[in-house]
Amino acid sequence: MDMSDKDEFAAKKMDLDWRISVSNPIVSYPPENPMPGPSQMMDSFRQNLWHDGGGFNVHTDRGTSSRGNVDRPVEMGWNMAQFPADSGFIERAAKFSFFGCGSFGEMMMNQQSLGGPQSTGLFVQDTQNQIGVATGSNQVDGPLKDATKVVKENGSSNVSEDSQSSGGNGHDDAKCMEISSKRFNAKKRKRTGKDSEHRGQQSGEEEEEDKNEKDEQSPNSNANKTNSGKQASDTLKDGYIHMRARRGQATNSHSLAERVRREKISERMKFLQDLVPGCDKVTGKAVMLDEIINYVQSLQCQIEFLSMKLSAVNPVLDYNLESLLAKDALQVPAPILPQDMSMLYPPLSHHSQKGFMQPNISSMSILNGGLIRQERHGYESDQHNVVHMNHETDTAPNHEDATANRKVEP
Amino acid sequence: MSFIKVLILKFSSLRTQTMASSDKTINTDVPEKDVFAIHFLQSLSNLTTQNPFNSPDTTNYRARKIKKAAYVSMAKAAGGSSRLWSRALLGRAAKENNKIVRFARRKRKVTWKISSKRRSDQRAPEATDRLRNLVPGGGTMETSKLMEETAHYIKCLSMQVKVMQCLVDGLSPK
Repeated sequence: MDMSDKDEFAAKKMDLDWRISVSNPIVSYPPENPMPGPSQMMDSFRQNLWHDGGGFNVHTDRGTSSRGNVDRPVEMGWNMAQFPADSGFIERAAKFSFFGCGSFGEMMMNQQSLGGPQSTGLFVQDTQNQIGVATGSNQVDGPLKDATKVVKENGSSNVSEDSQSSGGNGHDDAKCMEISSKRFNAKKRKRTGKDSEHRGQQSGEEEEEDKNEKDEQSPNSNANKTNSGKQASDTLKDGYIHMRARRGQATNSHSLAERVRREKISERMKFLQDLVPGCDKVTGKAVMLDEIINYVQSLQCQIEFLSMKLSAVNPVLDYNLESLLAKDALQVPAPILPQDMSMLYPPLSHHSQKGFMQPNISSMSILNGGLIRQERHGYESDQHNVVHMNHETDTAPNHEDATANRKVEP
Repeated sequence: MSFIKVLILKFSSLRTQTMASSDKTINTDVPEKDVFAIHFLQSLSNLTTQNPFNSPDTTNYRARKIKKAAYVSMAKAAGGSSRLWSRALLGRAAKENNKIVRFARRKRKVTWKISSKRRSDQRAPEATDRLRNLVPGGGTMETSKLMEETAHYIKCLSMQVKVMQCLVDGLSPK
């Protein structure tokens, strides 16, 4: 009964929670089969078995080894003779909120063709790392490694034992894994009740929908990931790695780094979103990027347009600019004016020095009517800063001087 | 001199509306508008003295020079060589002027790009490429760095636009 229920759990929810810390009774069963009672579970299981007879057959064709594994739990279910033997285990398993102890998971995996690749014990183990999703036997190693990683993170010695004991490749190892996982699950599983079951349900549903192909990342939806990911990181704090592999995501170092990078990019996108006006509603990187590009282009066009306008205004500007600038320069402490000018321009030429500029700017409002003629040249910067201040309206002589002293700009 | 006063008032008003441009996680400080104004005005004066009021056909030419001066002054004002895009801008301008501008070589982090992704690339690569073309110096940046530079660039651009707008308003004949 319990086993059948577990089977359904495992079947429907591919990734099992890997929580080791807490063992909580299974509060809710998979939505597809909400059956609290063991007997009911058994019945449903039996029915499922009947229905899945084809699945069984198919699965048995896969490999004798797996079949052997399957047989055991299946027979357990069928015969119910072994139930008492495992009753304690089963009851405990029944209490687990997340579906599937290893055994059941294995059973389900073995029994049903869950998305192609041989669902081995991996399937059972790795909910959190999403590896459990029916990765083929080839990938036993990876999930096992991940399992061990998770184990370490959780810091449960028993778990590590189990995973390590089961650590191996191939079907035989898968078998070992199954066994060990079963053991492990029986003993260890502590669940943070609601979280796990909630997650389990989510992932289970998704598992059911998505066939776990070789791609480790496909099955879980983003919502599930983020949701359970957060929960995962919340509950398990003592992990080695900074970037916690969220539930249902690969723990490959590459993908981790990639994920970090992606999150960096998305963080900056959000920042940009605040910058660009009118982009609150926009979601999604592509649209956002288009908006940003449009905005930058519009800004550049604005600058161009304004520069044209300025050029039209420019003839009038000459005198004003000079006076303005001279006035500005005048704000520099008067006695040291020449040196200040020289000090003023080099910073401007090389790098902006806001602190330096501020005092000058602050006194800009003061109109100074002094007559100052400054010529500066010889900086390696692009621009000459020649400031002339002339009360006379005739600026021709100034220009002559200026042109004489300046470098020619192409 | 009245328009000068107006201009100054405008600048002071600009000063009061300084952008709060510091983000906690991403540092995109942009100097105040006054700095931009100073730089720009200086470059403009430079331009005007160089090309005194002359032939009308140079309006376009002058406009382009003004634009270039605007960008260069913006790059200078916005932090010389501390920003990649400003350095690229200044380098570009210097090249046009047949000048070699040297910047202090910064320690470049090894940029590695993930060429292959497991999933299909959902990042709209065309958009990022376009962004690279838009933002100066964006050809060899990582995407995250590109985003940062874009943010700073946008801020500086908008500041420059405001400065120029004020200038135009202040100096346009009444």
